[in-house]
Amino acid sequence: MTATAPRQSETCLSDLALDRMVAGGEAAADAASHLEACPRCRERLALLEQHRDDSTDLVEGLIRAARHGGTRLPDLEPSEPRSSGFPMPRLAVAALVVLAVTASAVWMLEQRFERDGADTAADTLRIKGSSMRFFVQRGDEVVPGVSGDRYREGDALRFTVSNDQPVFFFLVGIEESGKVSAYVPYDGERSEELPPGIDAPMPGSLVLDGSDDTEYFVGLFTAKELELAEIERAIGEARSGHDAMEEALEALPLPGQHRWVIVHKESP
Amino acid sequence: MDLTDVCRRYGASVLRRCRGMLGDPDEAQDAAQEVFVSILNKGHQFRGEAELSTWIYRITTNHCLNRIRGDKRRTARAEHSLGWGDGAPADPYDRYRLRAELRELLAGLEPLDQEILVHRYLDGMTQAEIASVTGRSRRTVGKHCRAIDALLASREEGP
Repeated sequence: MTATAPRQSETCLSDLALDRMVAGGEAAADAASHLEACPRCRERLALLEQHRDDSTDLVEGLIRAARHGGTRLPDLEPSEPRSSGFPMPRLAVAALVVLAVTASAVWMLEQRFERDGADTAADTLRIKGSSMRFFVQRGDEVVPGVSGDRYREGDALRFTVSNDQPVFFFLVGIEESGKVSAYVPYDGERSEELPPGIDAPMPGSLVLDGSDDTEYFVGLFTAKELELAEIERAIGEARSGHDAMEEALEALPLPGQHRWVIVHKESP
Repeated sequence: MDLTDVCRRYGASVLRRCRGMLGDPDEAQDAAQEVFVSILNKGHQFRGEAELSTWIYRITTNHCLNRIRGDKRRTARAEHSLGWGDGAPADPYDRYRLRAELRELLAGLEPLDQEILVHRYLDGMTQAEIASVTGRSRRTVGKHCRAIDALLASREEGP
């Protein structure tokens, strides 16, 4: 091992001291005076602050996953989005969510996703081989979506999925009333097979309407084809046994893996 | 104390240190997530920022060391993961350059020495800070630091 001192100078500040400052803590008097006199430590502090700012979305996603019981997180290696193989859905209006296929919005989401998808965790729901996450476009800005957050009328949601083997996939939306709508495949009666891939953007985007309620999206990954009627029946059963929709979704009596996203809608 | 806020404020530090120790970005996120779970479950036991931040440093170190101890393939993988990983800042001290070699060293050390090695060589802590983080006396830490320094010196000189 080549000679490298633990620190450049025994008086220089450790990362522990600098991290406390980055976290908003007050520096001890001697640390503050050292920082004032030491360009190296100031540079290091600036780098740590920059890293903190760059990591905000990723850290937020990790915290949310930790709060939801340690759900695993996505690969962050850059990857090319793959074609999902689904036809673009027809333009239609649902009771609470409008499915809008907007070429410009899709393009922007794809561009933003390709640029930022590698280093943002968003709210990701991966367990052993399958995952689903979503991005939100508001105006010109596209940000990773976070399940449980509030979104506004006009916000466009786009989902991506990852799976390490062929699976049947169904993305449905559930209203608080229990009404189920199929979004991927759009208006479909049964799930469709997805080839293996990483962060494949699903066709179309979902544009939120202005109602003040909550929408539940469930991605269902199954080994065999699933009928929409089975999902509707299972959701009905789950809802009758639980007061809260979240509990019902956790207890969904269906095979395969379920990834769900909660979106609270609010007026701007 | 809002423990989610604590996770937010120290999150980048936790993630950076996990990346620094583990190399692999995906595994570093898993480790960071474990640390956040610990903070959310046990952070209320600590009073004051200093006590909390030293504890976070320690559990981050131990989560990563546990992963390193349990992964026999890491030595080979470490050879290809000398950098911080995507999105991580350059390090003006350049003290992380030898991380792969440090990982190799860890395999031959006792758990306390592993912890001290990480804090001394990766985090650049003073002996007083290491004593604070590990809960050992400065004298004990000093003794272990000297032993580690001697080990490193012997490796420099070679056979």
